[in-house]
Amino acid sequence: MLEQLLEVFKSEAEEHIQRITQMMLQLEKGEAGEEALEELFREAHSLKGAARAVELERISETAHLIETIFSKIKSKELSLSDEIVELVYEGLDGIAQMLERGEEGFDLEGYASKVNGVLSGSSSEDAEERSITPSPKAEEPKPRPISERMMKVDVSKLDLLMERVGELVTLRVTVEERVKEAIRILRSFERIYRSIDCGLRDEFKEAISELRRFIFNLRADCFDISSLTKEIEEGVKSLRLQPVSFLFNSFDRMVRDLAKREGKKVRFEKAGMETELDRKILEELREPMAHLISNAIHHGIETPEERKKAGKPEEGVVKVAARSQGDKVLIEVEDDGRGIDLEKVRESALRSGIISREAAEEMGDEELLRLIFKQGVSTAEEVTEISGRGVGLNAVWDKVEKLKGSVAVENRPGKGCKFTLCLPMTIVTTKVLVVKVGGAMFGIPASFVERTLLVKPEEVRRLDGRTVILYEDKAIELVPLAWLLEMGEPEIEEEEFKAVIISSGSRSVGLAVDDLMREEEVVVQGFERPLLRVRNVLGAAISADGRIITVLNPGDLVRSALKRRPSFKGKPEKPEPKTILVVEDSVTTRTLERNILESFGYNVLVARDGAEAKEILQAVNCDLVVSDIQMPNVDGFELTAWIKNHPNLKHIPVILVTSLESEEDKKKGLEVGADAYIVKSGFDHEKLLETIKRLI
Amino acid sequence: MSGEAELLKKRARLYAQPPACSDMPGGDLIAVFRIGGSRYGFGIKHVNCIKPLDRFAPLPCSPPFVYGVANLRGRICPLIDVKKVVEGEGIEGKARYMVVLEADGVKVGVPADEIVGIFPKPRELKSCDSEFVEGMSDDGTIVVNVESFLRSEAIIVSEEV
Repeated sequence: MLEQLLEVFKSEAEEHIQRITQMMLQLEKGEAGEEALEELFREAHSLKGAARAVELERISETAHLIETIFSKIKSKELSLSDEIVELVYEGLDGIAQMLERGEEGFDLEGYASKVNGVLSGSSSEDAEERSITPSPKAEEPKPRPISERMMKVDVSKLDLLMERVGELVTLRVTVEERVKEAIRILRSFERIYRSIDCGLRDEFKEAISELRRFIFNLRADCFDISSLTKEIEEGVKSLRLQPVSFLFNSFDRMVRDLAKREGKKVRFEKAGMETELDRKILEELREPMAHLISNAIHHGIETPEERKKAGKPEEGVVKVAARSQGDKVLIEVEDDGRGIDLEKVRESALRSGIISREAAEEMGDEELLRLIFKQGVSTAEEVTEISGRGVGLNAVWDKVEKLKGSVAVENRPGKGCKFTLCLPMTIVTTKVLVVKVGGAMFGIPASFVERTLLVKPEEVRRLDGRTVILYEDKAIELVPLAWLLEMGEPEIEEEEFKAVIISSGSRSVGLAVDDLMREEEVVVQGFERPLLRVRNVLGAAISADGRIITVLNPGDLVRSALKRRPSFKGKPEKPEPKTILVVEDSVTTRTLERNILESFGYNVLVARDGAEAKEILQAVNCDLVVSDIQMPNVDGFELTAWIKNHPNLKHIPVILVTSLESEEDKKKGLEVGADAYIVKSGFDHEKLLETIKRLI
Repeated sequence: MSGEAELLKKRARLYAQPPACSDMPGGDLIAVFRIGGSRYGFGIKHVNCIKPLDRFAPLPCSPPFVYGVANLRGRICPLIDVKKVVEGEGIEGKARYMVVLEADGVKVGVPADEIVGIFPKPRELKSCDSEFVEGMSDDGTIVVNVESFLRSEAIIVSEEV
């Protein structure tokens, strides 16, 4: 609770500081009048009140000192001299420090005595007294009217929402794929229909058109979901957009301070302030932009004397501008200083050993200009506090590259220099689980990962050359990811290994991997022409350390695993999959049986009772029936009897499954013609599978 | 660092090549690379950039002509082995450079072993039986028609499970 409150206070305090800075700068430039003083006083006062509310006494005290200065200026007991301005900034910096590092981070006593010194020197004696007595209650800040149109939202909530949207987008793609598959299945049914010539043609036709109606309705729903998802994605993206003014305004102080320190006259111009960018990008841009701006002032803009000599106005201009271009935003940092001295770049590059003398001499201007982004190249002759460390532009380049943007430079020797950063307006990140296989990194979208586990050799069962593990009562097929990705053998190690269970739709598969690395937030980039669609691969992402992570397609992986099983030794090519009809009234048992049988390569159809089973058997060719005994309408005995008396169906083997072992039932089952009778105790899959194999 | 210096030096030399013995003033230039045991030339206007091939990953489940994907200034760029597509036999081992080709908005990196230089496009080319090879020069350089190569169905990957 308290922590949350402190977060709120912090952001409020930062706003106050920003506004005070803004107005101070306007006052200095003579762009604001008396009313600004009133506003300054109010801001300092609100800051003081807010700090006291969260019991940050030292911040409150500092704000109070600043407030006192403003009140003296208002009453004309003080004038806004350079000294006073510095004093206010010192206080603001102090508050910023305390916000950052805790209240001990600032010498309040020293500051107080400085302020009181100035105040008492001005005239008033009660200054000292005021600075320690808390202001009377009546002066407490009035709450600002809450805007009805706006509300503040915790950024982390937005980030979380964004993450979920990223997952939704991947899911959408999977669902679209699934519908395509359903249509493909429908087509094969239609083909079967055309080759049928028995008496069931009409019934089958009816069933197919029903299926067709269903699938096409499903597809229509899918389209709706797709467009909705897109709208939500756009909406969430736009929630995160902020005007660049947030960023640009934060440089005012820096420009002023730097120019002052270097004895230069600089006008800071800003344009395109309403241009919007994702707030994360804005945040990430702060550092590289600060670097470019301080470079412009430090290296670019000349001293007033130099400028005069060169026939330029004494005051130099540093301009930042933003504009959007499609889904990109261009940000320019431009100055009208001396431009980049390519000779110095050449020397510096030589000194740092990046290029040989021979190469340096052969290089053209363009080529040289590109060198400024290399580590160790700088035109600064000395190391200054903010720029000129020789790592600067290199860091700018890296940062912008990480944001999927690019940097361009335009150099006009003697006249100035312009850096243009081209950035995407928004970014969507997805959480992936990074796994290692055969020395390469692969990402699996985390929303498809059911769990990760360490598999011991005794937990692995081998059946029919396939490897399965039991997980939550399901037999899950286990395949080495290396083999699915066509990078290795289908062998599962005899030792302990790591596995990831992924699920897509209702089907799950276990993937054996070499190692589980970490979860990571990445921007998944889809491939472009000529890579229209790659099996099992969704796209790729660039990891925080610059490495490429190939992001896998979970839907494809599950399909591949169930389709392309490792062929086992000594057996010929697998024949066409057999179709099994599962008749069971309990949805849980039905689903369980279906999953197991499907995971062993059978085509599975399901019916809820004997009556439904009869309809299906007449419409579709089945190779075997697995039926429960107790069921509504038509029970297992009746169904078996019906099958065994049907002229076209009596050859189909029937397995009766029951949870109760009863000799009487068993006898009755065999009487009606059942081929096998299985008692499931805790559901013994192997018994069922063996029986099925024996019968078909 | 020395690899980079080497590269820059090479690149500088490459750019410094005068279009000597050009019998076609203002004619087309081709950038020539050694790829495996062959020499390939690409029209210079389609060569976007040449970079050392350091950050790349192989792409599983893709045809043999897909060498992998590379990080090109923060974007994922497919690497296509042009030698494999043209000759049926691909580049061996790890290539040192990627030559980024661009035409009609399609961008593809081609792995290459060595930068040979920039030359005027030979006037006479022995014709080859390939939809995207303009022909072969006397010295055996295979001149690729980059536009049709990048648009070719032969390098399209579109596979379902």
